[in-house]
Amino acid sequence: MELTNHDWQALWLTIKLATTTTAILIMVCLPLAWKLAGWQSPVKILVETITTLPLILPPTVIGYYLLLVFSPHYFIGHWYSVLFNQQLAFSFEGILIASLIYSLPFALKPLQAAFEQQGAALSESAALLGFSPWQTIIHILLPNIRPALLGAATLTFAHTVGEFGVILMIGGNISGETQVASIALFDHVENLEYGAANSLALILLLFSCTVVLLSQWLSRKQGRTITNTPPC
Amino acid sequence: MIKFLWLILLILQPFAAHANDSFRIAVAANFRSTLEIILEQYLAAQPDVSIAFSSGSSGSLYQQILHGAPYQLFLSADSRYPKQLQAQGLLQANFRATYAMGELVLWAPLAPLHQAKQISSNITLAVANPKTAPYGRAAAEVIAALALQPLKIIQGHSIAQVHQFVASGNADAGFIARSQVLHTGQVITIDKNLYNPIQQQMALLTPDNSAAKDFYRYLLTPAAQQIIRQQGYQLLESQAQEALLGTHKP
Repeated sequence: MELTNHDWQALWLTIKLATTTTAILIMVCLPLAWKLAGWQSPVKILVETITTLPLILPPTVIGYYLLLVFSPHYFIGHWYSVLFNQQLAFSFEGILIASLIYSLPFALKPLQAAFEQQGAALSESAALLGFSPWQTIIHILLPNIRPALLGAATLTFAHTVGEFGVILMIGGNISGETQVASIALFDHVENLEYGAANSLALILLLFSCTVVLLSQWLSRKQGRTITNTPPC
Repeated sequence: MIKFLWLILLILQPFAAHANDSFRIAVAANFRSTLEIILEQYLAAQPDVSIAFSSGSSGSLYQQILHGAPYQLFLSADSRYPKQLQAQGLLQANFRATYAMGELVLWAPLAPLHQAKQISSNITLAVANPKTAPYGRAAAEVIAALALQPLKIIQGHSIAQVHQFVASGNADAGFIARSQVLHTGQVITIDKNLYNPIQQQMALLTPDNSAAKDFYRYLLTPAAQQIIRQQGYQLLESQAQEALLGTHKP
């Protein structure tokens, strides 16, 4: 292993970014997915289009527009720098916003599918049995979509770890703040430091294998529990 | 099936380096626009020659060449990668030469700066990666020599990205190449004694390709050198001698 302090810092930063992104996205996407699943409105297709977009947009497009949005010349970037006395581009907050956009579909889609599959009947029966809306959510809805929830979280986490193009465009390669593992790896290769590049690449490869394995195992295990226990 | 194979051959045909009057150049991104101007003149005089080029960072082009990419001529943004190719036996010593001397400038379109040493704690400064980009290396030398202490130093992976950071307003000032800002204001000249010269070297990878060899020589002629200087590069210190002797010290 030829990892420098910067590399460990980059790995730690990657985990921090992925964890924060996953936590925020799951919290935002749970109510959003629930709303979208039961929603009958012509606006729905518009919302679905926008939330699916990051899935197919080239990361460079996202990065390019974000850099413009973050610019102190324009409204959002200006407003942010006045309010927080720092700029969004080249900061952890900046790459966090980018990750939230970039990984949004990976959190939203599985949850929405799970809510859609479950249908309205379950929560209606719960209401008939005298459950309050909160009790329905905690005791009925959430346990029922647990496999999807775990799947969404794993995917979001892994996809954020794999982020490269967006961060390359808006990060500014600052060690400890925006230099994530994939960028550090790119840097090593460009700098002909193949030893360190090998180590980082191997770590990322092993990590990705573990995540995929884990999510497969979880979905099988969860699949069994769901089929074995009758709902409610 | 035969028809299908023919179709594939037909599609791949333009990529084959079959004739000796066609070749491919790998050019460092900062020199691309200058190369386009030179090629326009060169090809007008040599209608039988066909030249294709790919641009990118010198580092990634070097990687591609190392892994067998079909380039006959490599125009790097520094001397490091051509020297490395030579050390690896992929290049003969007499086919490496400095074709342009880069000039580092500070570009600050909006910040109230007149000299580089005025950079202080209210300036976000963008530089290219000092470890990989030659202009980034030079910028780091200037920052150290003047003991500059900006609010934040942002690294772009190339000077093109530094340009974009400054152009979009996300950085107040950036160290880039003179050739990138020929027609823009607010360009601050940097004392050349503050950084080691940026020698942009080229490498002729296949000396048996006569068209590539002719163009390699053409780049060192006064006609080509004049265009290169007009595009924001400096006079060569010792243009062809180094290539002939191969004795340049690092």
